[in-house]
Amino acid sequence: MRLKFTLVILLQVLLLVFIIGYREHWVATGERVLLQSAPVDPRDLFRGDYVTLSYDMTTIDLDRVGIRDDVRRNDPIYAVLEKGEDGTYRMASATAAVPQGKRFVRGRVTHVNGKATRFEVALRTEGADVRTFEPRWFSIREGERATFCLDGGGRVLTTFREKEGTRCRSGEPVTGTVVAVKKVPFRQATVEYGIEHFFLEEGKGRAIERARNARNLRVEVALRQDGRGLVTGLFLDGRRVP
Amino acid sequence: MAEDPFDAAFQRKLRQEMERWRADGLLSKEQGERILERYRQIDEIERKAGSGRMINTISILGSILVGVGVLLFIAANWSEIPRFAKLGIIFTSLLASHGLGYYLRYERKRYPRVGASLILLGSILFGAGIFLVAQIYNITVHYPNGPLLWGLGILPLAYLLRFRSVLLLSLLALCVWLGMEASFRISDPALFVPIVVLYLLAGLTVWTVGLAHEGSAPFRELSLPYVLVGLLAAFAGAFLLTFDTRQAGLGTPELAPFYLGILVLFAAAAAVSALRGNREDGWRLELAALSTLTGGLCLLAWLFPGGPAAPTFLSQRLLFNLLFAAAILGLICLGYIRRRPLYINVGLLFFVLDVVARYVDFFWELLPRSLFFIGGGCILLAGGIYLERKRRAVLESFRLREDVP
Repeated sequence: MRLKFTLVILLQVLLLVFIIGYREHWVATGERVLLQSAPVDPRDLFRGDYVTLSYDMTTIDLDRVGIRDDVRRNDPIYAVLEKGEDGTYRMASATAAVPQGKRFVRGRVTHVNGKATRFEVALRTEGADVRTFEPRWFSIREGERATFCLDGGGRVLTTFREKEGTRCRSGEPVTGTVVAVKKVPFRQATVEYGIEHFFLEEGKGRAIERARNARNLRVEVALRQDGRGLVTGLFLDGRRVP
Repeated sequence: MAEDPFDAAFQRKLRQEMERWRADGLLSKEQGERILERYRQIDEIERKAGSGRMINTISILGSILVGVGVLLFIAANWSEIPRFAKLGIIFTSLLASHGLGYYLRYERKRYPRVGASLILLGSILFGAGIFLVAQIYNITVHYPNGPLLWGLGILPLAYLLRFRSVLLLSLLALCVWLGMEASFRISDPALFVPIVVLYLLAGLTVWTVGLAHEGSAPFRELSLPYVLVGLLAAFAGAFLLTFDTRQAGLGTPELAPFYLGILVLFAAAAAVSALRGNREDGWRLELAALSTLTGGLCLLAWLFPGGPAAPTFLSQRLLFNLLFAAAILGLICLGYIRRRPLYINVGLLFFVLDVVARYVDFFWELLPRSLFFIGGGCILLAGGIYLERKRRAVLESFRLREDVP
């Protein structure tokens, strides 16, 4: 009886040790890459505070990356990464098949929206050149003057009419006249890569959420050859978050 | 954990019965005194130190509180504790809880009840360990694996020590896993009826697994948690289907592996139950009903995921309501035939829930609702009249036999 009991308890311990060993090996051997992120803050029933991290590859425009096949929930998708000048990696393209000879993250489609729309807005800036932007939502009419707040990667954070007199709270402002507004339909896939959660000490999640709009949050990921990643750290303004 | 055979309720009943026996002249006063003397000691212990069941309850509650406390401690994710110290805390408390529990229950034998509770605490701490590891490594991919590992990891312990509490914990963890895993597989997140049907099927199967345990002596004690969880899951699932779900499909091909697993497990449990099960009255009836329901519903969900072609006068919802009412009645009858208070209690619980739900159901007109109640009530009253007549006939036949010289 005592031997059997010991064996059963040993089985439980071995199971835990196996999970720990597997993850430790992953952290030790995986290549470290830095990804740019923006978190939102919920709470986990069992595990306390965590931040949900989202990336530019979290929502993929299937038409733009050239995935023509029918994509369904739980299908695998591969985001090919490219290193930027600032040292962080961003999605360069996405494929439905395993990319050869490239650095990539493997994800799982959680939702497909076949009727998504995006805006393409042409803005004539002060220097008289026309630049095209893709805000998530846009309600300003052609001919009106508008200010766009852009993040480091040139993406639109917020937009407002110039006469509203508001200033960009974060990001670089670009002001000009709206020349053309186009609504483009596309197929959008929401993808989960398994690197969306980072667990924090109770109460610290909010502080990180506040830093979200500043877009200065970077995620360190141990990336394996097969494209699976494990979050190993979070950097806020270049400093590691404990 | 065996039940205390000399509990207070038994003694009360015994005293009442003995008074009758004495009045009938079956028992002399001295014999009565000697019988009561046997139990007086137990009575005194209970009066002075509390009953064995109370100790069980208190120590189990204590284990649950400590376990929940450890889970919360982990949830606080205190950054000052380094990663390996956190793991150290979990491993040490897991081993200490199991070790001390085993020592108190089986080696020293002086605190068997507290020992059993400590082993239950160890089982909760094992689950805490899984969630801690997931937290440390920021694991989110395939979240359902956590409850699955928890449930499977403590199952051997429940069988080795014949602990109902650990088995119940394991079954609850596996129930959580089933729902998470199934919703992970389904491509349309709004589709919930197939998951409800899956719980119903799993409940029927777990119930049958419980019946299969009744036959062999070493596992008989473990039957109750299976039957309890199975009954509740099956009836809760069926109860949800009596509402206006506005979804026609009972199943989806995406859940095919689950249907296959359920059918295989059910077939195995039914075979064991038929060959080596409990041969009390009504076992054939119970097994036949379970087989028909599980087999029929499983194939319906698997092969006709769009929903069966029901006759037009009978909407799917009305059909479910009639079937559910019949199932409650069947369960209560089965409880009386098989002399199982658990069946009767669960049947009465869902009877009350169903009556309340149908009474406040806004989707039906008042008239059909009133007909439903009156019709159901008349059927029950007619059943009562039939049974009472039958009982009177049997009593009369006894009297006739007594009259024969």
